[in-house]
Amino acid sequence: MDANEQSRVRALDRLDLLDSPVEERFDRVVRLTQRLFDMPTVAVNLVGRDRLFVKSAVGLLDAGTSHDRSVAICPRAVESGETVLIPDLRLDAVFGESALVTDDPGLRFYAGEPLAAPGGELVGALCLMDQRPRELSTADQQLLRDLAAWIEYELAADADAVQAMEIQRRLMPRRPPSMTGYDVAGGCQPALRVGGDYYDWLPVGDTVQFVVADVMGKGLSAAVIAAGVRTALRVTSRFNPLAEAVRRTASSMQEDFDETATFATLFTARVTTADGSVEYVDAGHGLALVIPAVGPTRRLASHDLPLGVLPDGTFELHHAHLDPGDTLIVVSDGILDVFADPLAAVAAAEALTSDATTAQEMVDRIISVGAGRPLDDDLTAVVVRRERSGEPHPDSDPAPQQEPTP
Amino acid sequence: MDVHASVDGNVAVLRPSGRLNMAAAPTLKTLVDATVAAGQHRIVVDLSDTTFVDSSGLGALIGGLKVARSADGDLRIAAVPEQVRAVLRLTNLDRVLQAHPTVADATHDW
Repeated sequence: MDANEQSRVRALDRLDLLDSPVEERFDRVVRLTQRLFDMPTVAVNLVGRDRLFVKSAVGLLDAGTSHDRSVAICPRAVESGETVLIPDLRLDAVFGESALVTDDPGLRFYAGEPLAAPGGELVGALCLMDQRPRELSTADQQLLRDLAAWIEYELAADADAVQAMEIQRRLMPRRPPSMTGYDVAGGCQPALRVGGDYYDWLPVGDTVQFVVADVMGKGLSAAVIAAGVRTALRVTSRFNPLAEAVRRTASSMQEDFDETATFATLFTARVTTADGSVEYVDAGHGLALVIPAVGPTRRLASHDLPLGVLPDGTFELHHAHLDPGDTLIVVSDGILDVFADPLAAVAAAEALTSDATTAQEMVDRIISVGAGRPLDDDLTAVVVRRERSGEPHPDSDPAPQQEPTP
Repeated sequence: MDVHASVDGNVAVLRPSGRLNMAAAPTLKTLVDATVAAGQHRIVVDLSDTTFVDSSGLGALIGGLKVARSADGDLRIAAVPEQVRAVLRLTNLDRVLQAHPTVADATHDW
């Protein structure tokens, strides 16, 4: 399989639409297309590696069915990258002898407009078919392109994803914490189908508590669970030692985790502003680092399980320290979409941030490794830098806070 | 995604094929629930025909593990792709969800 075909098939896989149930948002465009063109058969077909999946159809094709790619006509639209217009299939060099044409159902007319995934890969076609020869005027061809663009929009963003993204956006803090002597930033690049990432910070006594969490799963249910974890942890953190706050959060959310067959990895740390001492709990997150001003990077690891895995989970408190010039970086496992293994991700985070001067710049660089490619998972990063004494605090010239952008 | 199910003595073996993702995870979870409800509490999920497991798939495996354990059984996984093993190690989930090279290895002490 050539590289183009590979990236095309991957893009189709990412849409998660193969073998998915019928959806009104596609069916209504198909019905409208049928009316506009007075066409007996209209379909949205997705072209996989070796089969064609009918996502939505009226007429001769049935939604939800799969057909051998080699005998189907729509792959031609995907392969050629342009509108395929065959006024009379009997005269076509390839399909003239096809059983679809010579035998039942005796197709005579085909028009197919290729459909692109958000990254531009052609993943299917909006097609029109009739059992008599036909023509399409230039105006009709333009109309077909417009309708295909509508389908492409639906391919990219479904209702669930839009709502999930909105919930997730509201979970993120609006501005950096007030923390003299530290430079703090966070950011999140949501996936096409939002994963359950969020980050947070809140003052607790003479510390600031930081959180990066990732609810396994995608879409609205993951976003709702993330909102629940955030609220529970905010409430319990105010009145409890850190490990106890995490335990209570896990315990209060257990039923939701069981119900939705999901769990959450979570890293949370309290940094004492005055002396840089750090206490942290790592519940199966595994992607927190301290990059010291001098010396090797340390990973803040633990043996604790994610939240929601065992009903009576307990969590162990660990200690670390930020000296002036040291940086704490916490990323989510979206980084593993970019770097295959965790150690490579850690090394990359270190390299990406080595010559950055502000926390915001570090966050931007980490997030940007995922930019321009449709991420399978959210990519979140929080950076806490303890400034060297005498270093100007960037609050004197505040950088715009990174917002998650849809 | 298809899941091939078979029973070998007192062990149910579930073999999902293709991608274990958001679209497929509920199918597997429902099948594990039904298997446990039918009295088979020892389950091996054989991943030898699975090409990819995302976070939803991992959620279904952990969800299935919880259901099996609450019935005093267990769920183990066999023929686990390296990508999944790395995630299990990173998240410490390898402590509860044991990855075995083959179905026979997974069931040797059952």
